[in-house]
Amino acid sequence: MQSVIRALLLWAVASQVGAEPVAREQPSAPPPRDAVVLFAGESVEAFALPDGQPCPWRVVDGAMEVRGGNIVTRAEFGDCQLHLEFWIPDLPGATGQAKGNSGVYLHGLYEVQILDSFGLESRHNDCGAIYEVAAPLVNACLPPETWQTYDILFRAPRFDEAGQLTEPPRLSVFQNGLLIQHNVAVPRPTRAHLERAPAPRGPLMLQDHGCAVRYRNIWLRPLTLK
Amino acid sequence: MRLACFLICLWLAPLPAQSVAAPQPDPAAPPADAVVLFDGTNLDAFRKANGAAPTWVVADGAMEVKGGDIFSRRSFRDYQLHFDFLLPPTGNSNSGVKLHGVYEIQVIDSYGKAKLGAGDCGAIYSFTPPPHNACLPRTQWQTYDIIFRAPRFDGEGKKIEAPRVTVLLNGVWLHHDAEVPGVTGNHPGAKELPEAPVMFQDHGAAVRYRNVWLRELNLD
Repeated sequence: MQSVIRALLLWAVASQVGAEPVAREQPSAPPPRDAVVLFAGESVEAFALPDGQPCPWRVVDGAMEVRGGNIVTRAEFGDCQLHLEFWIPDLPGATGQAKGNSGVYLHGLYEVQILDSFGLESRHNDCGAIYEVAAPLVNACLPPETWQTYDILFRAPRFDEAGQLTEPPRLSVFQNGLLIQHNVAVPRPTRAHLERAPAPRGPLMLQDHGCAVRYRNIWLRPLTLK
Repeated sequence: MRLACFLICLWLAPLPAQSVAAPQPDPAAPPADAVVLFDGTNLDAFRKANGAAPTWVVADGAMEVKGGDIFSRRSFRDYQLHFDFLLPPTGNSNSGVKLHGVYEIQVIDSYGKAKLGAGDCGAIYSFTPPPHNACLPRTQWQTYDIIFRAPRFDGEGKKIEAPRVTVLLNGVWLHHDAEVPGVTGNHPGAKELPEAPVMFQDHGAAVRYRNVWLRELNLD
């Protein structure tokens, strides 16, 4: 039985090694002139721990690396266009949700998953998923230790004058230049979200899930969508 | 006094760089699942309106408008479309991409314009102006990334859902799943169809295109 499992595992690893990415590495463009630059390679000052303490993530080779907890932007946003680049370490011994896990939480509540899902059939908890809400349209992952890009359009939830939610938030996402989420409504905050209620504005949160994922070129354009 | 007037006028005038866009880097290769419509070498994926081979000029990895509109030989339904364009240095700069041959996303020089209309670059032509000026100067290659969800029809051929577009110009998000109310511009008799070719417009200007590809999607 064990040898069968081992053979299956080896096959799974081999088939992943042989996978060809659909996406291509994307060149970095400078931020648009109306962007709020959150991380340009040196200072992590735009971020803090959720309790307001300074951001403990360290800066390595112009990137910021996960360490010491989730971080949130000091500023809050409503609707926005977000760009960021991420780098997942190669963790050959790890599997599933332990394999290079992190995440981008819009308003601290709605997660676009980051994970080493290269070569897999993407499900609703894989990289590019709106976590446990929507699998990506295509597996647009690049292999670990490659810089990847997310370009996200976020339409914040809408509320009436009594503060009742009238429209859920919506997300469109490109990963490495490929459309992976198309104007998807997010019916509820996703797992491990920041402890706060849905609101017209909120911070951006980057998740510490125990893996040394790196981020760079983080900017967003605050928008007012119809 | 005259100098003071001049300075005040300068101060009141809109800044010359009325654009939020940053220069774009050289493009990456098309994704592996893309239908490449123009790779820099030939126009085999296109035809003229009458079916004849296009007469656009292929040079330096680009195709330049000449001798009429061109249509993709294949028809498509929903897709992600990418292309780069370069406007001529002076004069007329008008062209455009018509999704399904009838829904135009405008290509023209609108760099530096403070107030944009439905005829400016980034507009859903004749319907929706771009909310920001995302243009670059004529000397620079610019990029469009467009998501198109085709109109939907019932069994009798009646349109039941309008087409929708998402548009990024030079990486700046301009339209998000926006409804296109009908055929753009004044084209009585133009047909809306479930599947149709992509058209690049000859509007008399020597606009160049390169790196033209699309990925078929199912946005049901």
